[in-house]
Amino acid sequence: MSPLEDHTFHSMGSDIRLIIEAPLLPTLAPPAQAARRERAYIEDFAARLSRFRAESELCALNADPRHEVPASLLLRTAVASGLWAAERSCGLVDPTLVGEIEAVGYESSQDGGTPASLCEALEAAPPSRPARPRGEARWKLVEIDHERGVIRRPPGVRIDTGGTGKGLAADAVAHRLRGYTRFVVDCGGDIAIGGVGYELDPIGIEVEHPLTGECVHTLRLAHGGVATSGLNVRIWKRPDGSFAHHLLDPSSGEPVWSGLIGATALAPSALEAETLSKIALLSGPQGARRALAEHGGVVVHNDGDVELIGPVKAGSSSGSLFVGSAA
Amino acid sequence: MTEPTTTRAARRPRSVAALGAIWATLAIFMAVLGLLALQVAAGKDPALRARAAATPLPPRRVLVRKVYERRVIVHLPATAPLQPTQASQQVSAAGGGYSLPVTRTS
Repeated sequence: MSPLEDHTFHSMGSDIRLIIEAPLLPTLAPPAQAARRERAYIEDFAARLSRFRAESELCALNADPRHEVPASLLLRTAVASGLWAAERSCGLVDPTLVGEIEAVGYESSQDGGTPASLCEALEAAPPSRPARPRGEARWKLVEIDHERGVIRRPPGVRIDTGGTGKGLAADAVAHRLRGYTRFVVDCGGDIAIGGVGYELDPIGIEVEHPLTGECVHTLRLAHGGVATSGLNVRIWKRPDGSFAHHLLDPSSGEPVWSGLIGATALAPSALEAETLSKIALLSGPQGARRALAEHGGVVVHNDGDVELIGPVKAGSSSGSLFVGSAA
Repeated sequence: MTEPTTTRAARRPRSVAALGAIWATLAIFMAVLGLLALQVAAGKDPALRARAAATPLPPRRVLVRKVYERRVIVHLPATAPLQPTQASQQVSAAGGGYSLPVTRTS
């Protein structure tokens, strides 16, 4: 019987949940104290990297007219994570689509708002097709110089770290909690898991269906990351009556309708899982099967059908990342 | 027919030699025994002398360590138990003790 802390709060436009068990060393803070400390870290992370707070470091960077802008380690790391995701996805997960996302109606935080009906949006959606990278990749123009502590980009190229921010935050907090026997860092569904306890007794992670809200599958993990991308939360109706959501096709700058409405990915880290889930959702069913083949995942088609992919489908382990599942 | 005469003549000097050897052995034994008895009587027991001549063992060192343990006992006034905050709870880890995390769109 060891005490654990199960702490939930709201930040980054989502519910954040921290589960922390006893520390491995007596010199470490008790779980409750560690949870309060990590909550403060996440709230600071969100405040400094928010696209919707004019005083944030990210907004200051985007508004700066200079080519080379001094940037904190956190901002440089967040931008580097966005560029890594772009590289990993061959440009599908593009952190420089700020103008495009604002143009489709996502100019301010939708936190607390009621999303539009996904079913109605699917009925009105154009024919499904996978997203493609932007021909002129702006993200390749962004450079990070850690030695000089600056970010270089052509003035006017704005960056949004929101696409990878929750995964990065989950990984950062998980790293800070590495001295604890078990921990789960759930940043709005982007989850990092660790601790020697889960190596011995893996934890179950439930996958939620984007249409019904029911658990469609339970993954069992000893460590690593899980993330889900979907169309059911950040979706709205535009003034012209059409529907839009926050996952854009870089080639057109318009919301993607790929044939999938949800994708869950497993990966060694939450950041990679978040990137893979976005790649899967943007790529459509065929691309998703390729993207999720290595570590496994779950996708939900437009008609609500659930498909298991890779090691999750086989029910076997991929390395030591995925250890099992229960329908 | 001369064989018995020859045997009797050879046996006589052998018995004389055997008796001499016995007496000589007894004499030597008694002499050594007497010598040892004299030494023991004089307090010079060879066995005791060899043990006494051995190097004495160094005295065994005994380290006496005193351990002082300080215990601070604080008596707090009886109050109501601390209540967890609305969004935070402490539970037992045995058998999970918490709802499973859910990955969902955020």
